[in-house]
Amino acid sequence: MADRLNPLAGHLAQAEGAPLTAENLKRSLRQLYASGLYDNVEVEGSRQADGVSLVFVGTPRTFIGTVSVDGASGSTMNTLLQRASQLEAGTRLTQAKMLRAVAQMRSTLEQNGYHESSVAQTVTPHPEQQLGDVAFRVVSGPRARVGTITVSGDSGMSLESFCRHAGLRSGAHVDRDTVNHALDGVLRDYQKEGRLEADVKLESAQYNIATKSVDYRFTAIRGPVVKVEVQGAAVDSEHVKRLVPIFQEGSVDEDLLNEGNRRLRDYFQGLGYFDAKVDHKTQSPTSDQVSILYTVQLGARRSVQKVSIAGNRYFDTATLMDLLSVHPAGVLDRHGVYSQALVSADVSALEAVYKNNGFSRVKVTPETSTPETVVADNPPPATAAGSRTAPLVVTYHIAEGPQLRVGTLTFDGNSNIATAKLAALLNSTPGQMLSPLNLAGDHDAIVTEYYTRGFDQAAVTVSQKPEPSDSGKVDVVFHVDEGEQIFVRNVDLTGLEFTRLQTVARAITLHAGDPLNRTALSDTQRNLYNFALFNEVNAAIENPDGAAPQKTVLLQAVEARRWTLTLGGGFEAQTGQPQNNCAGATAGGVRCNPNGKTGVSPRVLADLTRIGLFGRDQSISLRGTYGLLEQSIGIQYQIPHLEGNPNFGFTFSGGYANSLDVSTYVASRLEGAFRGTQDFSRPGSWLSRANTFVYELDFRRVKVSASSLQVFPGEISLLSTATRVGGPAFTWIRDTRDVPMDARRGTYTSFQEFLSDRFFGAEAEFNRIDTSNSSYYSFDKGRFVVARNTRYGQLRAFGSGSNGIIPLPERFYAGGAVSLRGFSQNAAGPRDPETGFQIGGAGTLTNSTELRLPPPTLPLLGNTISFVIFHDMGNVFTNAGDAWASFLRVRQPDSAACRNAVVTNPSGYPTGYAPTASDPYTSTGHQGPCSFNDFSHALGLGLRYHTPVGPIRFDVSYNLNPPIYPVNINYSIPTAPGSPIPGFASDPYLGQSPHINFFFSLGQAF
Amino acid sequence: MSRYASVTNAFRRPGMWLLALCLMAFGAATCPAQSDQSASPVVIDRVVAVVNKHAILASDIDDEIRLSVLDPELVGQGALSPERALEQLISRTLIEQQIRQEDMPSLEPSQDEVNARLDEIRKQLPACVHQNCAADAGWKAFLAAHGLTPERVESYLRYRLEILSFIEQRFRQGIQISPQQIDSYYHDILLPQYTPGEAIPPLNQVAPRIQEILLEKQVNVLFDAWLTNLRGQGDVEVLDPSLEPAATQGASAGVSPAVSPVVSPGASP
Repeated sequence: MADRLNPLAGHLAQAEGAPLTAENLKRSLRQLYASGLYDNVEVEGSRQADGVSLVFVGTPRTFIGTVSVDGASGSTMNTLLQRASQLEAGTRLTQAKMLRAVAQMRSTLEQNGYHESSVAQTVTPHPEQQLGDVAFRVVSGPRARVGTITVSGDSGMSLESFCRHAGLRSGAHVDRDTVNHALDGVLRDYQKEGRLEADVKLESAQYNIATKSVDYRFTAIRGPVVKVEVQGAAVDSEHVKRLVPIFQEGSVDEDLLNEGNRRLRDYFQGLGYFDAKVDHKTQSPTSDQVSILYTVQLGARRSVQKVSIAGNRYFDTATLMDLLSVHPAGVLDRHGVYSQALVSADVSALEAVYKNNGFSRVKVTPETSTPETVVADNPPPATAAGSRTAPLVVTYHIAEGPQLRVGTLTFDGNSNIATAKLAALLNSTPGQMLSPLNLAGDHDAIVTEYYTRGFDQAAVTVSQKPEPSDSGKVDVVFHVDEGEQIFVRNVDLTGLEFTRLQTVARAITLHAGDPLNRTALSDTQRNLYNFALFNEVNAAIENPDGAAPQKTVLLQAVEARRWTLTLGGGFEAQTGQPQNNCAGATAGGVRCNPNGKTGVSPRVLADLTRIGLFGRDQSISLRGTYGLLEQSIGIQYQIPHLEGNPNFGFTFSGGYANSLDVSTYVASRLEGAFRGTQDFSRPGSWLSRANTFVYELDFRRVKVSASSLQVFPGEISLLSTATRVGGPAFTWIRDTRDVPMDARRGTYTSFQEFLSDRFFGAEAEFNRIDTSNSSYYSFDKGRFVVARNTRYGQLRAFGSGSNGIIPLPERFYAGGAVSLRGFSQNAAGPRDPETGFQIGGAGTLTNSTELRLPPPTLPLLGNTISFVIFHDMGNVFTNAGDAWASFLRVRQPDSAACRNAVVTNPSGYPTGYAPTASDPYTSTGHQGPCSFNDFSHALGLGLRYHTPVGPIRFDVSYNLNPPIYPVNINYSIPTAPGSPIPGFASDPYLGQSPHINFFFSLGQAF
Repeated sequence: MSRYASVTNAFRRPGMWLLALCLMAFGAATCPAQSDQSASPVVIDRVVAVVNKHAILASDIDDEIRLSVLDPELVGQGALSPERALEQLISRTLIEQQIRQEDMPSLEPSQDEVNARLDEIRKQLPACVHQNCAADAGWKAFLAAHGLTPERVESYLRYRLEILSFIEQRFRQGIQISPQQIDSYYHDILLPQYTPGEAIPPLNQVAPRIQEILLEKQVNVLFDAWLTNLRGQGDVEVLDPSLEPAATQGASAGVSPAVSPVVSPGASP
């Protein structure tokens, strides 16, 4: 205990060896009591030979440590009761607080229907820390049910009706919403009848211990029917309900009715009736009726012809015009925008911008007049009505006044932080314009600096004085009252039941002896949350109000559940849904097509995760996905902060997946990967925090099902062989987007390099580079967004023989909702020379550009819908080198060869594809005579329905130059007897990708 | 001083409180030599109550009791009890905290105002008149008899004047007394106090004084309500159980003597 006061000993008013005075003794006592460490303090004196010996004696104060509640029925009840106790960690523990806590917990229990509960408390003292841990043990007892209901007053309805509207059913369990729902339900019914002054109250809720039920007694005064009419202008009842606030507030008073006047006036002014006047009158023709009549004098409908600004010298007119709410009429707005309220707002906005730039005496005077041309050329009739039909001209006259500048910037009262250090924090500089905004920011910066150094009582005031020698300059003084510096005595972390202390130790950035830095405390709290091991991390200071020189920091963690099961589902809808396993499908009535079919692909997923493995920041999870396009199951072991380092993570993943997202085949994948992640989130990192590096070692065995493969027969055997792929990968991600789900500014760049080499046991040897860049630009005050994305990928096979073939699932594909929207899912690029099914490529270059329009205000939907216009271009190519060469090519090269490739021999059977010398074998196999080396272009329109989890997307595209391809073999037709090859096309044809595609999914395209 | 002994048990022992007083008032060096018994520790001072983190000490109560001789309101009521003294201190602390919080300008009285008040006490306070306080020698003797110093008295008066000024500014402004209220007071309260045949002053003659009385009455009501509210909102804790009963009787009961803002409502004009 005494060690807590060591730093104070030298600062007591009554110093050792100094003459004893009553005043100093008093001040010393007050100093000691103000430390907050004692419940009472007294000073004892005894005469010694050479003076007086003083002993200060105090009873140590106990502060609240942890507060726990246990035993209450209901999943959230213990937490609810803990909050109801209002016992704040670190504050003084008193008997009065304990009594209040129990009373409030009982009250909460009763509100939730537990009227026979018992609450027992135990306080476990920790004298060394001066803490007492409070534990409440609750026995909820039986839950009450709804008993009898009585209603008094003038309810105007039967008891049965009342109960029905109130949702009160005899025998139903009581919960904390029972009464509120009852009152709301009845009031809602009254309001439907127009009885806006209805009053429903709960008079009593009496618990009957014999029947274990609560008897409720209500009073209901239905009040008169309130009718609101608008005279003098046409406005529908829905608008009236929205504009007159008595409907929202559910009561009638003069203030609300006057607000109705204003809103109606603004509404009509918004329609061009700038001279509209609204008044109201209240009448009660009968005791059961109140009639409110709004009288509108519309005046003539006018338009704002011009809005101008005069007298501005410092700011240009365009800058100031951007601040105005009043707008002249335009193409889309026939009357413009004008009202007195908006003019006032404009004046305030203009004055604010000037004042923030040193023009403290600026004066803005609005003037509304008819234009001179109208008056001169076409003078209005002499009648008052006529003069009010002329269009309006609004002019804001600005008298800027002198611009004040900062003279000197000085500090006083700072003894613990050097003036130079404080000066470096300022935005304001001598000679700069005097900006109240800058000075407020400077004030905050200084206060924050003191707070971070433990001066938590620091206060700063800013005074300004005109410079005597120059009236255009103002000297600014920052007066600092530093207060006492507080240091950390100890950091006390509680709540670690399963988690090891070493696991979280590095997250605690505040240590004993440090200044009590509240920023570091917040960082510590955030760091602990980042582990995702805790549901709650509460940070508190022991003895927060005391003036003790050292304080204990209490960190109270509540561990999260270690096992979590997550279930989810979703679907996509699109044209060109991949069709797999087509062999013989026609017999079942299904027609298979290289372009797929229009359809929906639902999916469900499940994730079982165990966090806090071995008491460390490690987790393991088992994940499964089942959908039409993919089925997978995998396991993942994760160390998000390797050795406690927040910037390094490690993951091992492995699993099995079955992919059906390319019509040509069904692929299975057995894979395992070691992945290290490096973030740059710490200050001082050599890369900005937007960057992430991923280092991987991937191994997978890919296999294409031979029965599903729809390529010409000569390649089925080779392409369906199981192949091992393995090697290192490196990924760089740089993400500066403001909102990843719906970015408006920033960029997203990813670069991935993967090397599959036999050194790592791979059977297919190739190098893959896949890079993508997106950027987002907003303009017109952020209303419009231009977004663009470019992807370039290249694959180079360097193996020999079968090792030089890139397995089908490892190739590049494009097309679909998040790729080239001119194609259906993965349908872009090279196709098999006989079946017409896509076979992927070794290179890809695509670009998408979107103009995201501001959301219009629509009836019912409000601003939730917006539109985009997009252009997608690019393709997948047989060789990476073809990508750049094809950039300007908008027609399929040598399309005649494609047409000529559709051939049938005289017997009616397909000819069968035979590779020729002009069709060399590539890393993606034989390509046939048909080339796909052109850039496909698609234009489209999209609709976005904005939700809290991101936009729901519907895109329709029109492909300007869809490719053609021959279909000589159709595996979906049963092989005819005598046919030399499987699959039979009695009617070979020239296929073409569709012009129109649509996609329905979640999130922006990129 | 015998009541003060109840505040702290240590002071009950003969000789102990003398040592304490010596220690507090003059310092150890000037105290007479004590017996062996006096070498054992004695409680000199302690915290007895807390008002919004401000500690009130046992010596503050002693100080208040000694200063109470300067309060004309308490003349003839005997010595101020420690409970009552604590009550006054609590109320005054609450008011002082409010003054600091509201940061009202120019509340501090001038030296002339302090001197005038001091002069008034020396000339009018019955106990002081009795000891011829108007003369410096009598005043010094009076102060010495009550354990006071001129500096302490001056600072006390300054403090009281500051509080009175605050009450004036805070409550008097904005109170309107209507002619009907004056008329009603004249007929319903003042006139019945005159015996038949006694000369009754006309209304227009006493109206200004009636207005003043009604104003002060209204200030009293507002002030009491304000102080009660302040106490209800504040955190007041009495640590010494022996002082508890009087302290929990409510703020308004003991307020007026603490600050003497007004005359009594029933005072005759």
